[in-house]
Amino acid sequence: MTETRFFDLSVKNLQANFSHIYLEKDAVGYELTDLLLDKYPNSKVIEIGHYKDIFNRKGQDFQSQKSSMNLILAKKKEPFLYPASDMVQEFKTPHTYYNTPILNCLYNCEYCFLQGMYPSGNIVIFVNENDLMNSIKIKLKKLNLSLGPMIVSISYNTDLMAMERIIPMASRWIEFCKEQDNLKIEIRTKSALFSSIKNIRSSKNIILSWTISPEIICNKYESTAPPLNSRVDSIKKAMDAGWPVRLCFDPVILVDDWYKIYTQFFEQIFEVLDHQKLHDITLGVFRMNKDYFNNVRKRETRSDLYYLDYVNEDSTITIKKEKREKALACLKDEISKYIPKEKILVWI
Amino acid sequence: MQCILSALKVESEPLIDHYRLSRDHSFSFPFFIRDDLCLIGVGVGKHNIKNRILSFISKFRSETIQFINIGIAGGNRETSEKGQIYLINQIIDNETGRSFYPDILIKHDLPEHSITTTERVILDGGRDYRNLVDMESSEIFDVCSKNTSIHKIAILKIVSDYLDLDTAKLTKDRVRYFISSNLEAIDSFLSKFRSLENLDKPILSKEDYIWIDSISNQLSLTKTQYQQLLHFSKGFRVRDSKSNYPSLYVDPPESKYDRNKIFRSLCEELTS
Repeated sequence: MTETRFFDLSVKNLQANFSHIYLEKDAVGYELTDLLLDKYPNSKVIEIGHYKDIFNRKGQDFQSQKSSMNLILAKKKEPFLYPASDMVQEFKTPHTYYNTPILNCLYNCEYCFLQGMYPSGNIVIFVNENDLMNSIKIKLKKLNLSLGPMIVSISYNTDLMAMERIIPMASRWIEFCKEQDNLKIEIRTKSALFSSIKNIRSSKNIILSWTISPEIICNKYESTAPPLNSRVDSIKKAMDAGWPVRLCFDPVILVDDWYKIYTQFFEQIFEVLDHQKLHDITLGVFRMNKDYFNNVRKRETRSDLYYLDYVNEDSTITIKKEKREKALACLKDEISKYIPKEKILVWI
Repeated sequence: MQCILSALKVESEPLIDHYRLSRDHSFSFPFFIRDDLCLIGVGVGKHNIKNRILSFISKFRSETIQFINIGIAGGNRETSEKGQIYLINQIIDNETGRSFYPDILIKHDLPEHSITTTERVILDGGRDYRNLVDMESSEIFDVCSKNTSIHKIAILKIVSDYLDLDTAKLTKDRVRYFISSNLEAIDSFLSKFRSLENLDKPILSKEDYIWIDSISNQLSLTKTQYQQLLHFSKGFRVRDSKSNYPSLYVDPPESKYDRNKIFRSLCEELTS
């Protein structure tokens, strides 16, 4: 069963996901293209000139499209690699980058920046993965790696592991990374699909990062992602198999009673997971680029998150500094009961 | 509200009869309506489409509108079947080379096809066209998509000829027949398409807007304050879809200071 079972189909009569596949002319003939076309033989395939002809159309409704997502297969043009965003905790670590093998996500979390970043709810898959991989090899040769390894987040604008049963890109990237010296990749996910890579031998060069939240937050703001217990089950299996695992308590949503909710949540999580074995933990509150935030608002979002009181700090919309610093300090203290403080990366 | 757009009078007639639409003479062009279904005769070719659609939109501005273009088209003998209705998934404008792509979110039973919009009638057997061919789709899609979300636009075409000399001989009765014989499919599609309206319900109802406007008038709000009130009202409605907005029993403020004080307190109440 795929992870799409978690979607809330509130409107009857909608097409199943991927009823239409838009195929860029330049993407024809790639192995990943053939894999996907074989996987969805009943999809209507429409040839297009450039992926932006579909993805960047005017008049799209992101949320409506998320109820019936289509696939766009395209060939990525340069740049293949981007410097890390200042929204991530590690952005000050030397040689930290991200790339975009896929644009958009199977899930539709209410706090996610993708809904403000992209005009479309459809998913773009770049089928020329070798070009993306080669760009990393070239960069590795140019960097001064005495400062530390090159770190690439390959799941920044998507959830690669959630897509693994649709297209096995996460496993291909893992195999690629294993062959490179001085390269670490981070695969961030909310998936419960560790089983899809369970036969791959673990590697210290690949960090599997799971975003998890208290059940009440999952139900309210992450309703299209797998439930908390399924995610935790996957995390446990990954840790047992020797994978470096990062837990992302990010974003922390400061709902009523947040302190009690998160404290109990940490207790619950560290009762099940062996905190000694964790690679590290990231912690941060809700934040979003101002333009993305305004885009979401313009689209008449029904999420209450976008009607709260925030501040604009250097074009980042977030919780007021005093409130977030206090909250994050409290939560860091709580987490440090289980894991050393230096392993807790906080976005302040 | 659903708005059918058709080019020829003989295409419109079976639809008007089937849906028992009545002529509304307040428009200077053919316009027929019954409850929340209407039909605009847009004429043949591109030239009248924009004016007629915009004129309609300006009168029904407060409605959520779905546009459905229904009409006949020429087809390629090898890729289409005469009398068959198709849902269009790609529109190519022959003159500009631009392509348009409707968002087909609704589950449907119709075969899909692409269409090319030309500015002249094609009678050479359509050797250059693998797609269907018509004279309006690209302009209809272009105009509608500038005024509504693209998933609210659908184009249904029935193949009436194979772009040969028979096209010139197409009788009015034959066109009526092509539309009439597909009414069941059209009916079924419109009904499914309408269910998409559930995705498009605005946060604020007409009653909500009446309350917002009355507060704005009562307090003589500035444009910025009006936008803030709109935003906080949406937040209130997102959190609570049923409760009434707070009542405001105050005399009209005597100064800007008073107005701002009342406004701040109202905003606090809406966000609490």
